[in-house]
Amino acid sequence: MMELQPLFADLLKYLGTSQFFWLSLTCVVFVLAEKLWLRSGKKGYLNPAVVSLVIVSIILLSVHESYENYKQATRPITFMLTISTVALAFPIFKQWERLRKHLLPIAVILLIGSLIASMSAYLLAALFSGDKGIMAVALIKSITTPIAMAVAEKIGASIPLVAVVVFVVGVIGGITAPLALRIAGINNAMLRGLVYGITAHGLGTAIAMQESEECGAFSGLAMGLTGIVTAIMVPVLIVTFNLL
Amino acid sequence: MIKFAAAIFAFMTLGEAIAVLGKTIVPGAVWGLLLLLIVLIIRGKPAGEYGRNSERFLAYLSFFFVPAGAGIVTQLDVISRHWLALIVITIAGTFIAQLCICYLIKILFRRSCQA
Repeated sequence: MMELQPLFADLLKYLGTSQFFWLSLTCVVFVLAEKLWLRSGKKGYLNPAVVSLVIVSIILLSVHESYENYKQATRPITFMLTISTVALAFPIFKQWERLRKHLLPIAVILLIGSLIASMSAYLLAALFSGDKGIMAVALIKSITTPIAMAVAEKIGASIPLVAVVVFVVGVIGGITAPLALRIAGINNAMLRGLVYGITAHGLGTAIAMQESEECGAFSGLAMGLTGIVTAIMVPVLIVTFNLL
Repeated sequence: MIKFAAAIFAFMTLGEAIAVLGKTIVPGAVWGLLLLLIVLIIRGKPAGEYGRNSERFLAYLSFFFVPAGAGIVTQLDVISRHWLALIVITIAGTFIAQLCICYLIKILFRRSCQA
């Protein structure tokens, strides 16, 4: 093992000069992670994206490959993430009929809910770290990943840190939302769905789907609209109140 | 699939144009999303083939995020310096926000909460 490691590192260094090496490695790692996840009966903590990013990170660190090179090589994948923001219009539109029937209550909850989700985290970040980078991440912690990444770039938050924080928020929010809903005594499927979607984006929506189709549909709708509302509101708040 | 790609790229271009020309902090992709949503609503018809393609495309969303997420290797020092704040934001921040939103809903929509 001791002798193999430098050899392995040399081989990777050579392969790493090919732009297709990191691209194919990322795909293969994800396929294997997905197999593991399916075999485990779709356990939440074995989420294939997170398992893949941990494995890729460990590989990058152990062969001392710079992230910059890896990032360049995998640009085609990240490009897909960028354009997927626009594609979110279709699932939101699919819920338009449901939305139109309850337009006013949903609009009020979404606007104030997005503000609460952003500002509570921002205040905690200011209190516990005072670091501008962390405060910027906190502002967009509960919105769907592609929109969060797009906003991160504009407000000077670290994109990889945002990606990881957003994921963790989704996992935790999916677990704590039923608790908060029970404490407050909210049983209506539409209102429950909104809470899932505003505070725990896609991962919360997956859990809301398990409650009922209606709950999942409103969670998906709230996820998309919260992303849009927050993407517009946060930059305005930053400029107006000099938040960062 | 090409029609779907054309729609996505066209709205991405329009969104970027708004972001660049208007010097907005709101990213171009979000403007693109908003414009496409407005067009779909005005058109008022089911999205059909576009909708089906978007479902297939968005099913890979979590895969698309792996390279960006792996950038966490450049953030290890930030995490070790701010680990407490990060834990507080993700756990306490999320639960506090959920409780506040739940009680806001209770105040605003007392009657429909039980339905």
